[in-house]
Amino acid sequence: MTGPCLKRISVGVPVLVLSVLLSAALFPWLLAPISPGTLDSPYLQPDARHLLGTDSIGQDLLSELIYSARISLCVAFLASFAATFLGTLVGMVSGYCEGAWDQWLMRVTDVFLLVPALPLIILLTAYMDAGVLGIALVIGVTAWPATARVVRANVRQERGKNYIRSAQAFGAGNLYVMTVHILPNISQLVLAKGTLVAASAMVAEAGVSFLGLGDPNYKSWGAMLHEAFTGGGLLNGAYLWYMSPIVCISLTVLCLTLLGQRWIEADEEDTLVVGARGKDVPRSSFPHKTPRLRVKGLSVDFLKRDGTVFRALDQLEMTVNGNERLAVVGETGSGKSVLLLALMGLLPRNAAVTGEILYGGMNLCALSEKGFQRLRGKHAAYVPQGAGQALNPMMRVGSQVAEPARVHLKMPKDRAMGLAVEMLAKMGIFPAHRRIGEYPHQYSGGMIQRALTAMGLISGASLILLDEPTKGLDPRSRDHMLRVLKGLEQKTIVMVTHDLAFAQGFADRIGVMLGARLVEMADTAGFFKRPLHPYARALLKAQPRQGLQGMGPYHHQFFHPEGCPFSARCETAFSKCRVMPPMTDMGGRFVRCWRHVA
Amino acid sequence: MAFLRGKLWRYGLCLFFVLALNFFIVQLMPGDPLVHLVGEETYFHLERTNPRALADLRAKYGLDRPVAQRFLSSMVQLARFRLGWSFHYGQPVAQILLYRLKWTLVLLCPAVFVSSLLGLFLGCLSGRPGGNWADRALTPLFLTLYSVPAYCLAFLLLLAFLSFGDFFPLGGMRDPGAGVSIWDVWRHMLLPQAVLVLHATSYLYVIMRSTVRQIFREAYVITALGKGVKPDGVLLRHVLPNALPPYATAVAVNFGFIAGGALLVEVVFSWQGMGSLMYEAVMARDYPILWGCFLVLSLSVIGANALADIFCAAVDPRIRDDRPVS
Repeated sequence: MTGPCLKRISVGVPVLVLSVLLSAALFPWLLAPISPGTLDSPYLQPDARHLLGTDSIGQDLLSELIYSARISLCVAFLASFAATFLGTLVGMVSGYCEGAWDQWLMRVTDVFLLVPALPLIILLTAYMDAGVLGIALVIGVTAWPATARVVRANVRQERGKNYIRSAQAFGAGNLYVMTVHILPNISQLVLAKGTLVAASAMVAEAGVSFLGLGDPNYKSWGAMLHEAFTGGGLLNGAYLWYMSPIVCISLTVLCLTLLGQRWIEADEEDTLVVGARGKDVPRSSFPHKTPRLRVKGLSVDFLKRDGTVFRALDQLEMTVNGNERLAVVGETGSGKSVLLLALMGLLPRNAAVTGEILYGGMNLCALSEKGFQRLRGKHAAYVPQGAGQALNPMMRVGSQVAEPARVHLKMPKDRAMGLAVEMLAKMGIFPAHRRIGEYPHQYSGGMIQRALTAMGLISGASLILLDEPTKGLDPRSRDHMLRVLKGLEQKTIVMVTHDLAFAQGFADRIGVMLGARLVEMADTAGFFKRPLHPYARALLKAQPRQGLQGMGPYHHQFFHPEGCPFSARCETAFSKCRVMPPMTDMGGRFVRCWRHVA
Repeated sequence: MAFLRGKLWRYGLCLFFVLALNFFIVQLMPGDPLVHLVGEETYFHLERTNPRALADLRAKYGLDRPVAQRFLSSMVQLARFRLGWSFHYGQPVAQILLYRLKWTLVLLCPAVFVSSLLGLFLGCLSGRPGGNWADRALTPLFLTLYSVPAYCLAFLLLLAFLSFGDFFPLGGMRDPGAGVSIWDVWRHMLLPQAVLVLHATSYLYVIMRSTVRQIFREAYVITALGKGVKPDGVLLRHVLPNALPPYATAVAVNFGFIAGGALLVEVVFSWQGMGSLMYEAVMARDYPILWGCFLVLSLSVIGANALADIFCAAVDPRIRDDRPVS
């Protein structure tokens, strides 16, 4: 169910159907062709006067159906209101106040979640001989826990955000923060949950009434089914007596569910699903040596759900020679990781990739998902960041490290595991033969990073892409990592890092990224001796060795959204910086700065 | 293990709640609690003809003793599985329940088993990333089924199969006059079970699909894809093991819901299980039976949840090591 057109239908149609039903509930006398007291002969088949026929006492079924809508909808909405109110209250208090309150409220919620709802509703209504209001209340009281849990989770998330902290710092009371700051932010979720609860309340009411527990004075759709069932509708061929309330109940529930789901999904983030759409290539066309990697005019645009486009990479040009080691540095969000993912075809589906990535005579941008599967792991290995859940928590580390060898080198299990032990030991994980049997939660952050690196190196790919390989490593294992990476032969390596000292020790060349663009590309020695771009200079100054000098204050004198992204913080900015400078060749070094344009 | 200990707490509390509810609901109802225990007919009959016998009954049920003492003694009774006397059937409630429960389980257990496998398989199929045919075909289908209450679905199937009545009996559990044969029971069971499977699968399918979709966003799935593992391998080795524990929990949580639906389906097909029993009890206002049904159903839901928790603890290495599952 994708595409804006389908989306509009999936909201529009339910709203339309529900409004028709609601108007039937509000003004039944306007829509019903025959007033409910009028009796005709029983079990009449549908004709012009009785569009749906009559029931066992000769009541017009269509009119009965329209008059019954009121009670069915009434109970559903009343119950939903009660449950949503109670659930939101409990969820907010529980999510906002930590500690004993939260704990006990959640215990109560858990208990209510566990008790089977329909039998409890039947039991309570039977005991209470409940009327319409009573039934609605009973359903509401049993339906709140799910809402409470979801609200609690969202309130907890919201509470940690900065604007709440600052409101509290300014002395806002708890009640004020909850109602004025938090409630508006979860209102859509509450609305969605309320709609879904209305759907299940409608089902519950129909079930209770079907058992004959409904209020005999006020008929609902469920009560119609009860009458059809006990009044011998099947034997007398009055199928529509069954069908019409069934269709009405199901249609209402379907519409409410569709609406609720749509509102909940609108809150969800974009699906990060990988997939390339180019053409397939035969296995043999992949290179066996270590060829040159050329990136030409590579741009990546993310299409957001609200229709806006975010450009993560802009017209990137670079060349990495065979057996060369390149380190890409730059601040978070400058597009470094996106570059690596684009090279592997691992970008989510909402990313549009243009340009060319030439590797061994192939354009990777034109590859299909199948083509990429042949590339990944075997010819190009990707080592992700160890932060977060980069390793499968349900699988032993050894099996995960050995997986590329089993998939690409078609190794039997024991040999692949032997190789995994070797690789882990090489990365400094001891005792490796025991450690391979452990799960990721038994590893420290640095060990996960090293295991990921071992996984990347195990299948002997010639192009290695590393995403911050030193994150979470202590100085000793960092040096070890450097030695291992420098000891690799016949490999082209692209590494993304924040660690300039590591880059200096490791790389042949350094690339600097800023605001989705490459702003400098230079040989390592030259770069560290004399960085050309003002941003690169600021980066080096911010290193501990240089005394951690911060960047200058923001000044927007020469800043323009389409100009040099550093101009707002650049000490040497001038009027030309409002326009994006071109990449200038300075005799083998490249820099994107107007100060260096001859 | 801390995980199972915490869960045990929860079940204990729930059980206490269910038991206490039984006691207090009878106490809090307006009018004489004895009415709920012996039935309106007997009560008013005795009140007119033999007030002494009524007083004896009151003493027999202990209604003349203080509340705390009555609460304790009712708990003791429950612990010995003495659930009271059904005035409608003239039998102990526990005995009737055990007989009826058997037939409900015969209907329910295979249906839950089949639908959890179906939900697992189909949910995996259409939870896979990208626009796939399974998602486009199955999601609208199951969303529609999801919206039809189980007993309504039962009616629809009944209406549809009216003409095949020879092979698919439209109600009851066996042919009148014939003895119990497996073939006969199976024939009668087919339609109600089909309803339950369709209904339960629609719920479980939706859950599994969204679980799989969520897991496909996890970092370790990108790692696996980056290794060059084929999508089917990623699904089987990386996504499925991570989806199983939440799915098992969801099946258990929905067990109560599916059982609730099964009760009404039994009524439609006049299947002589707990559902029909509840229906008859509602009609006769036989409260001890109603209460007993609720207790047995609560116990089975707690049991299902406990099974799911044990499954999670057995499968998830983090739970085995008492680590938080994020």
